Amino acid sequence: MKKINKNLFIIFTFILISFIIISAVQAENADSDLFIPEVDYKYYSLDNGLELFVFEDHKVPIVNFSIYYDVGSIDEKKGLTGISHLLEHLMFLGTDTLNKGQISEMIKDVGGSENASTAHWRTKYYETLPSSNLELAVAIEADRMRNLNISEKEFQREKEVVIQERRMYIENDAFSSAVEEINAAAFKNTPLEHGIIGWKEDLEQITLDDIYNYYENYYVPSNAVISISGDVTGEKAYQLVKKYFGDYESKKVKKAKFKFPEQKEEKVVKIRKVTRVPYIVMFYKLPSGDNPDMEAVDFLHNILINNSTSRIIEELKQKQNILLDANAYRTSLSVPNFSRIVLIPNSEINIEKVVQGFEKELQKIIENGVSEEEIKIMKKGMTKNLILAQKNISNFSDMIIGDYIKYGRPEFYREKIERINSVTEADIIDAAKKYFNKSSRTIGYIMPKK
Amino acid sequence: MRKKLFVILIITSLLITFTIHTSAEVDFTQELYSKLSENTNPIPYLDIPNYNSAVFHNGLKIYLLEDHSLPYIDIKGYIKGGRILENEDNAGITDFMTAVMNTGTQNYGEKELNRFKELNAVDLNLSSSDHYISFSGNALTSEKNKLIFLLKEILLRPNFAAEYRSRLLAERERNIQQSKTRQNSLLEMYFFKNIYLGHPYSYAHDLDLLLDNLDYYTPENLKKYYDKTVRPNKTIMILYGDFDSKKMLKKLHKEFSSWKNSSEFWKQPTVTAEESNYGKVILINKEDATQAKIKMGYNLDIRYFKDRIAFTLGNEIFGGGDLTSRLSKNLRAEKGLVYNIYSKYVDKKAGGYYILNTSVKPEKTYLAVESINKEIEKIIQGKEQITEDDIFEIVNRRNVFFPKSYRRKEDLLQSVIFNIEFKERDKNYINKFIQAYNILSAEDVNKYFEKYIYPGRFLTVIVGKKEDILPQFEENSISVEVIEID
Repeated sequence: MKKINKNLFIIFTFILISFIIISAVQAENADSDLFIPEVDYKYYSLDNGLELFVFEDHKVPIVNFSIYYDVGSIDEKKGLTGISHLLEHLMFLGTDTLNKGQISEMIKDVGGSENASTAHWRTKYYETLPSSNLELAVAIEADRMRNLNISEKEFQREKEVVIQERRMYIENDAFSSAVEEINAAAFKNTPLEHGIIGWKEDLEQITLDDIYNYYENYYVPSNAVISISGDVTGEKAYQLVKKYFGDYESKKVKKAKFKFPEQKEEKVVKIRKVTRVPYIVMFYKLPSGDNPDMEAVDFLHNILINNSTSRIIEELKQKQNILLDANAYRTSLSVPNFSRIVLIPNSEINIEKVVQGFEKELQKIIENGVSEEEIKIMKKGMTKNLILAQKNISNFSDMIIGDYIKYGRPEFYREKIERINSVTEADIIDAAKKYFNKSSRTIGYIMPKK
Repeated sequence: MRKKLFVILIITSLLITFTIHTSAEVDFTQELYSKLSENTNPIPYLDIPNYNSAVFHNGLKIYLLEDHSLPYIDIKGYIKGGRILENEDNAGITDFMTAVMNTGTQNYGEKELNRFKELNAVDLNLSSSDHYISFSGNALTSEKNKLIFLLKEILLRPNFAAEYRSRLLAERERNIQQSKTRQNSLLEMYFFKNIYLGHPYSYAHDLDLLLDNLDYYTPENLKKYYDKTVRPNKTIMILYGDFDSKKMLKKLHKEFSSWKNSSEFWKQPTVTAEESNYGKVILINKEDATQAKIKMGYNLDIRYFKDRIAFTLGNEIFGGGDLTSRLSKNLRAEKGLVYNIYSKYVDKKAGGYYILNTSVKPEKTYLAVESINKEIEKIIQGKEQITEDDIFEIVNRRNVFFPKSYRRKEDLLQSVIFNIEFKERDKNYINKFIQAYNILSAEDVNKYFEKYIYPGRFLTVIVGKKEDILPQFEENSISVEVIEID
């Protein structure tokens, strides 16, 4: 409940990448039935800047209402880390009219469900309910956009719940707590230095005044996007949103930009934890998520690490038997991003061998390139994922809103399709050379406590 | 002057009108919300898909359902048996056997098998459970024959003498060792070891037993176990997607009809509730833990349909996991003690259990356990019994979410077949279930919740830092068995 959905971002990226490959599919399957699903939506905007996307789907009489605020952990200042997520929790505690717990009770009364999640780039609240009760969701969200009402006592109690959540998911987990430290070293003095849940010290010091200031700055119509999907017409959805939000005042929201500070040499972090297997965690810096090089980075991740036929897996795990597992992923934000690579050696004595093995395989790609078969494997897998993703077309609404908030381009996936279709071996080599340098890397070693 | 006054009046009235218009917000009142939150959802009826089925002469059962809306094929299967067939000497073998089968075959080494899968985008994996080995896979329509070929390779031609067996063993050893550092694994190990004392249901959680048995997984023993357990007369295949049923059946017959079956009879041990666990508290000392993880529960078998439906509905109100459950309201919303808390009944063929899970600040462990017990008492002592309104909310929600959960035919098909094959229920069971919970009264739910909830039987297992937790129980004169981890 109300927990940070850490995997949400990865899932969206995955679906997005799957989309990207479709043009390659079309080229290879000109006579087949493969198609890009037409994601049909209607767009509306109010004078106060609030925007609305409606995705009609009349198969079952259910509707999902989601409101996205363009604010997340990358917008947090030092000393206020974790405030986006804390505010997300507090938004369930009442308004001038609604009592604590009443939001959940009312949604439950009509047979619906509700929740919220916080990410680096946004905070999202959503309700799924019978379409005949859509107005209830619109009213709740309009009410709590402007009339949040939290007592000091309730604020302190909910803060304890969030600190509890932090202890549960981060502090109490050897891997997560160590990665938090390595991440902080890698992105020191940037908004990526802290995790979405924030630092414990900051959480303890945040006041109710801080919360209200943050709420008043960011929870305004011009900083929000609504998505309604399901059994509703665009016009009806628009009229409801206009009725409840139409008179809210617009307010300009300032969003800070940042750059990674220059890094001339590799940063090394060594941590000992109660673990019997060691972990190696590497962070490499990447540009904005819409940078045209990012598709080549995805190819590189998979050819090197993520597949069963990846070079690291075949060489270090299957052949040399020194690696238990490995994975790689990248963030996709409008600000600078990172690639995170995790290698799990089977023993502490193999740590160096695994790092050297990784570097050797990376270097081989830079020097000798990749095979056609490796590119084919990636495209084929993504093609299938695209087909399977169509089983649940409603996932696409999240992707479209995400691209709109982050890059201002709701149909960004079409552009990416073009890009990925043109990724070449040279692009992959260039991406490896450009972004995967030892000197700009942070490497963390999580080793068993002695 | 009059004209001026008139103009002023006009302007003033326009301004007032404009002001009224610009601030004409919706008036958020309890009346408004009361009106908007009215709804009684109709009782749903799910249309059971019209699938085809066949049984080959070797006993292999096939279920097929065509859907040509997307160009892919999906396969799900079960081999009846599973971990329940293990004994203490070979515990863990089902899981390890499936891992070896997933890695390569007699015709395909590890590297070749992975290449075959990835070049053709064919996925197929086996995994083990208490009562079956399951397999699931998918492929694009264009590769459907490759999926069937791969299924045959993996099921019928395993290579237990392959080199990768040793590597998989070494990896398994490291992974089990690592599990011994994890709070959840320790919690499950001591909970299930005590609840299912010596029964196969406990083996998959017993990390020490699994470590001890690694040497048993020789190529010979694996082959012997495979011959005994992976047989067509125990296997069910469910195919869904873009294919022609007749052609597919012919293809499957060609590939699998020569698969030899076995007439071996399997005895499945039943569970006997261990009364010595009633009220027992076990604390596993984990020095680095910043949270105390708690699992409370007891053996529970609810064999009657109405009893089970009423009890599970009552439990959803009590500890269903969302913010509106009684436990969540008390321990999270009122006391701020926990981030999440839930309870559930797990129905198992040889003997199920009731369980309650949460995680708290170590200093608050006793308070949390006490609060949970008080919430139970409130219901069973009649202080805060389950009401008709409570039931309406849950039923109303289920009536929305059943059609939503099964909106994809393949999900409904799998549920129907699982009910038929493993639960001895008819194909329309799901609709009977929906009807049954819709006619429950508060009286029924209170009666059956009270009948099957036994606060005195709770085995409480806690993993956390001893020095923070133990004194709380000692102060309350509760004896605790402390286990130190090596």
